Amino acid sequence: MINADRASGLGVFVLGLMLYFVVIPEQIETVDEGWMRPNSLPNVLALVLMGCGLLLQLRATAHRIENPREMAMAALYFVVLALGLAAISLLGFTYAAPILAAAVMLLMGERRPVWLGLGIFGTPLVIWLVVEQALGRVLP
Amino acid sequence: MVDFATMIAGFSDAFTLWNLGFVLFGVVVGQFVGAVPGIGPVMAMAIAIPFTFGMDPLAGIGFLVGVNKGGLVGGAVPAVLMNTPGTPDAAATALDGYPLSKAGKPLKATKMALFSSVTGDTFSDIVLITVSAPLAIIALKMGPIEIFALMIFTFSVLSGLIGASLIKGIIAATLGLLCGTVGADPEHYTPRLIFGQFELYDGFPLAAVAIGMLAISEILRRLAQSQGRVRPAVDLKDTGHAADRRVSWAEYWACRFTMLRGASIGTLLGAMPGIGSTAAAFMSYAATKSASDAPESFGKGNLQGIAAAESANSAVVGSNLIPLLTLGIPGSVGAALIISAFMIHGIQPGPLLFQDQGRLIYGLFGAMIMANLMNLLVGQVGLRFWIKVVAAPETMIFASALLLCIVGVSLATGGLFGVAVMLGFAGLGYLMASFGYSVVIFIIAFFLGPRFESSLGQGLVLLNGDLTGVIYHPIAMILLLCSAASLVWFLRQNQHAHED
Repeated sequence: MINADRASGLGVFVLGLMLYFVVIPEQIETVDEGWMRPNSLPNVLALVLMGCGLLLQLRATAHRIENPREMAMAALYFVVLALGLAAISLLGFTYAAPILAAAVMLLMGERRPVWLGLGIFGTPLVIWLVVEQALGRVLP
Repeated sequence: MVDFATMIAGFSDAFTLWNLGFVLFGVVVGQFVGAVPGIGPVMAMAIAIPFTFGMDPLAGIGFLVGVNKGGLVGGAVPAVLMNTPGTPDAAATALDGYPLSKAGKPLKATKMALFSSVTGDTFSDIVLITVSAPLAIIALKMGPIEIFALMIFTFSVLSGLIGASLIKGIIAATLGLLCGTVGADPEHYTPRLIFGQFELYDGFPLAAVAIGMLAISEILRRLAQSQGRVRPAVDLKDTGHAADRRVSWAEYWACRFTMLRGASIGTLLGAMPGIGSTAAAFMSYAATKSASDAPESFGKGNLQGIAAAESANSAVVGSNLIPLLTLGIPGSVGAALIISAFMIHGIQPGPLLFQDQGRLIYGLFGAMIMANLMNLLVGQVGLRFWIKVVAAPETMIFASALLLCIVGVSLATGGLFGVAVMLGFAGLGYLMASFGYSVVIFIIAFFLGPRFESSLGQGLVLLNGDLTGVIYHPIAMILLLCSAASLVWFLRQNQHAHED
């Protein structure tokens, strides 16, 4: 069992630190006029993140990551989605959508041919009809 | 503020066949998706927003209102039949709905949920229509300093009320505000935190953030939880008696005080940011049980229990719009999504809304009342079909929802860059929810971020950079003191919980 609050508190503290010392100076132009400068609010927010990250180390709740296997599965689906997005940018939605739908349904354990057929071909077909034919918009 | 002719014109806009058609369509979609465990009205609204882009503003917003209201009715179906609420709001409904369903009266239980839901919703809509215009007049007297103080108060209440830890609530709000600062700075128009991606010059697209964090992250969770197991079909029992398939007038009338109590609790809590319909439903359920002569009958299929929960959770929907329409501050994710629909159509929510868009607002009120009526009619016919929906395979539903999200965001943001942003926020939303950080606070803070910064900037100009000048603004001072008091109170509550 992992204590989620201490782990995430540390992550939030490091994020605040990185933002304050690295990201904000690099990514926000310095302006020397006005009461509110472009980096004023981001800097304050980075400091709040650092403070809250430290406070969370001291006042962690009993929240725990109960099922790390579930997180690993979510990461796997995330990768499938990212690959699906890459496939859409290469092949276009019309060809990539059935592949993405098939991957998700098979990973979820669906093996019934009727439902597989409906999900893989039926849904993209309905989307194509609604978006391109009825709404007159272009699919990605 | 709004003359009578504008009100009538607004209401008559809502009653055109075209707009009524979209409200009806929204109610049908809402009841349908609400009945699917895992896809609630919020996810459905998030997916539907990009598709309203090409619609007339009233038709688009009326459609979303229909989805929201229909979703609450539909959410009761899986709660009653499977003890698996389609939405968290319906969890209290399951306490008595599921035992009644197991006793062979699933239609009676779902119909009681429908009638009490429509009753509570109509009550809160009437309150909304009555109080929002006068409140907007008061809100117009607030300047940037008061608005900034009000946002601080909203964040402190949200951070304390949602979730188990005040610190995590503040972190969620801070992250939301930080993401809201991405893009051009409001005062100097210099790019901030865009990492060379000029598509981010206008900030992260709201549709991509909302759909990523609310819909895709939840779909990821459900996909991961399924772990290759396909949900079994639901086995429904039926006693065969006609009386067990309907709710008689006598049974409805016997619950009138329960529904009135539930609607009042829901309306009151809905007008406050962050408390939400789940808390309202449980509070109303507890109040009804303690006021009952037979408290032991609750949890065993008592119709009063269903009426208490459903009237309260549905009453929240209408009153949630009170802070939204009067101050431009959303009190819930559903309200934040409606506000984003306003913005997609180029309408800036806030106190000036009644002055600038009075006709649209009264059109929205008309659409809300019509959505309640349609909820009743669609529910009467549709409940038999929605009962079948709970047996539909999740594999098909989630694969379709994923494709719809991709297409919706691509249409709303004009390309695949928005879809990539959506995916990034889906990962963030999943991680935040897994580690116990509120996604709701994040989204509301992200949405309010630009206004928060511009109010602060304008306030500093008014105060000439001297923050002590805030003492000459009594409303702002009261709000800031209330914020400090609520933070101290929530910290003490957290301390007691920690010690226990």
